[in-house]
Amino acid sequence: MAVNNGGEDFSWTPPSDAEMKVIEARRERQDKITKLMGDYLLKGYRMLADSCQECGTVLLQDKKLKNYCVACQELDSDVDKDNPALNPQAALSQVRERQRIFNGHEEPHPTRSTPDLPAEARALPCPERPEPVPPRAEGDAAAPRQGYPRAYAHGEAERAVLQKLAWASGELERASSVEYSSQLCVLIRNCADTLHSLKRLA
Amino acid sequence: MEREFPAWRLIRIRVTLAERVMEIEKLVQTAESLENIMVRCFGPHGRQVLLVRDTGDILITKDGCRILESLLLEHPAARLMVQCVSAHCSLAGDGAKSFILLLAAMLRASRAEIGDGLPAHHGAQRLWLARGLAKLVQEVLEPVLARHLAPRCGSALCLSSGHPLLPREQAAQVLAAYFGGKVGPSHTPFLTQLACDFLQRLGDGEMEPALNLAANCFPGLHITVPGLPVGSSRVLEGLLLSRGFSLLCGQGETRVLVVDGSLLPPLTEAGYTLQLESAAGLAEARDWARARAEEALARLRALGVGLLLSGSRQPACVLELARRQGLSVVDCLPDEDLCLVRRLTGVGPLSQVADARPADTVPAGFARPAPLGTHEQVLVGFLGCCGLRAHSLAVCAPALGLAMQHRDAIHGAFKLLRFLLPHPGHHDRESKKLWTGDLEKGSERQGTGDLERENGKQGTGNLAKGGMRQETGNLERGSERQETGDLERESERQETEDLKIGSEIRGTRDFGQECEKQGMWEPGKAEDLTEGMLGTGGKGGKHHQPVDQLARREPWELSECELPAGRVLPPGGTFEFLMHHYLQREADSQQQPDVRAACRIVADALLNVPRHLHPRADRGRDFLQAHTNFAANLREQGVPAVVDGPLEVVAAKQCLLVSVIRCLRLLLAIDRVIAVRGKLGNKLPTGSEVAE
Repeated sequence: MAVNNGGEDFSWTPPSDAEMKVIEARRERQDKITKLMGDYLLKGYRMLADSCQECGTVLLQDKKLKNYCVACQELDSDVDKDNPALNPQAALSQVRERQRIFNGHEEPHPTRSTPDLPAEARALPCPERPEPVPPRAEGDAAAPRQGYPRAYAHGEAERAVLQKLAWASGELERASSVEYSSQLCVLIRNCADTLHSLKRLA
Repeated sequence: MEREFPAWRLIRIRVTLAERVMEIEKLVQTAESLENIMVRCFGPHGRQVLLVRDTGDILITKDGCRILESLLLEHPAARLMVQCVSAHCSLAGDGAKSFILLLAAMLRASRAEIGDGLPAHHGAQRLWLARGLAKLVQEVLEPVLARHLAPRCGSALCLSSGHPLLPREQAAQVLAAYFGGKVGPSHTPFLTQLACDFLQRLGDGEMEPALNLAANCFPGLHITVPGLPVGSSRVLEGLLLSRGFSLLCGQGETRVLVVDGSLLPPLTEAGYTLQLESAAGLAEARDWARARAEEALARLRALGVGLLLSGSRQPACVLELARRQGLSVVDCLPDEDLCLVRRLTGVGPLSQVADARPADTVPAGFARPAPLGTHEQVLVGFLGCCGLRAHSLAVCAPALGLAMQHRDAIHGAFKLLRFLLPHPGHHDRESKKLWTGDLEKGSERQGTGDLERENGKQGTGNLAKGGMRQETGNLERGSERQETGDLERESERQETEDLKIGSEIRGTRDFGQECEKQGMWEPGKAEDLTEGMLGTGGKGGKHHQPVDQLARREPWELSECELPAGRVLPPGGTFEFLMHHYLQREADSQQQPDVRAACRIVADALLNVPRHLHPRADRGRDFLQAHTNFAANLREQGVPAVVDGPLEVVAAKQCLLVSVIRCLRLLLAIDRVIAVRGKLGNKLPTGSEVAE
């Protein structure tokens, strides 16, 4: 897109789709940054002569003389979105990527991935129940591995969840400690929620 | 051998300066953040912006210049942009928001042009682009406007009896579009009518004789009255003086004399000592002085003088004597008021009252205390003001801030209307010389230095002395002006007091063009840009123009490449679409690559203004639709004739475009920013040195 000094450059080719996406994303980010900066300037922030060390945006200073970078502190940076340590969605997608590559498939079915999410997302907050999580995750991830049609995977998921529900109820009857009982109750509630989501999906 | 120690020692000091490179990315980001603010209040759908100041005050306004000056900006590029906007607005009265929109779009286009080359080459490419832009302004812009645009414009002036006339309806249409962008919608029609009334009454029935006076001397012609509803703003008959009566004896028709200094003669002069021979000597001396003053007052009374205007304070005994004679006295008048009186009536302060002649006095219809105002003021109804009638404007509003906004809006309206006149120009030409030439050495006239100084003072409330003198230097009588060698020498003297009201000042385009050709602009000189502060041009050699060769020319005869006066277009982007179209055609036909690139940049940037006229929701689609419609019309029958509805002034748009290009050239020429540690006030010039 640059015209060099002294002549027209006839070897310019239009950018490819991927490059267009990158350009669009960058432009959107810049627009967001300038909009935020405009808002803050109207609120009485001072625009400084210095730029941020990390991202290069112009710094703002509030009434309390604290320096503020709109890009670093308000917008998610481009890189953070893909950082698994910071973003659970990124972590999940990384896990799935690895499994897919391991099993030689490229693209998971988008609808099949949805029942994964409620189950796994709810499984994450209760780390004291690691046992049900891997079998369920593997079970649900196993279903799309086969490439079966959606109804079969849906049935599989329901069957697995019901199985777990039944097992949990059995355990609950036999449970003697309060702690264990409450954990089982949480598991039963999660299974019920999962079934609810699966029903909605159907 | 004994070794001799040297008496001095050479010490090498390495000084590290904190310096940064001003990348174009930063410039774009700064400009875009300002653009984001301006867009909110731009166009017919623009709303008022609420701004919280550092003192905790709240400012609600739509006026772009006011918003920009209230922002706290320490970034040197941002400060430079705001300074450029202020300078433009003080000259043209309008266009702050469009300025920032155009500037941001041009910076984006420049970034694309300079683009992805090696960073090491960016500096050279930026200079190359700056040169192209300068050539565009000099060689391309005026011909395009004159040849292609002018035939498609309407005219707001009508020629009658050899004199261009501005009808009230056209002026009202121009002002309706102007006020719509400055004040709230409820006040727009009222302020339009008020401004037109004021001009008409000041000009004694016609609008254009009063325009220059109103635009240049507005601070002396108005009074702001907070605490009253906006609807009570009105035009008052007579000139408002900023002091009250020290002595009021009569209010009727009378003659007025302006004196300089006390009527009581001093007992000694500077450098002399009064030697008293006896104890009663002092009393005798005083009595002698009193007698002299009494004589002078009696003489004045005999001449028919009933009102004395004095710049200095009159002692109590003089007031007593005046009361006996029946003269009214207003003293302690500031210099600006006296200058304005002189400009209106032609009489200046008299230092030797004893030599007063009837020609030194001026008739007045009345002199009475002013009904409005927080402190005492006097309304004097001067007569015989060389074609004008003395009137003042009272601007009322519930809050002082709102009153000041309305006052600035009305002032800007007069400056805008001035662009319709046939020589809008002296200011346009001045500004063009400044914009293209003042960055080079050896091209300054001191007169333009004065004009810049006036622009450099941001928001002066009172009429500044320097500005007053400059403007009287440009006083138009009829519509012909001449810049003589005398006038130039006179403006070099900083303390000149005798103004040539009576002399004809004649300006021609030949003169202007000569200035521009004589070394104002050479391609190589772009490297000499060392402008640190806006408004200080190179103080190199003076221009000594051979004035005798100047031809006398009628004002409405034009050279080929000149936009005729009074051209107007319908608003809504017509000007921008037309210029975009013609500049793109120019870009294709240009030989030089830098001018080609500059044409492309300006043509693309011009579209940013009509784009933002549409409401945000459907902006892209509406804008494309408007552009397509326009292109279709252009192909078929040309721009429809301007009949009625709001109008915008083409000369003002041209001035805006030239200002923006100049600001862009300044920004592109910045190579390094060297930080100077120190506390800056908000109104001070940028503390960083901008070096090439």
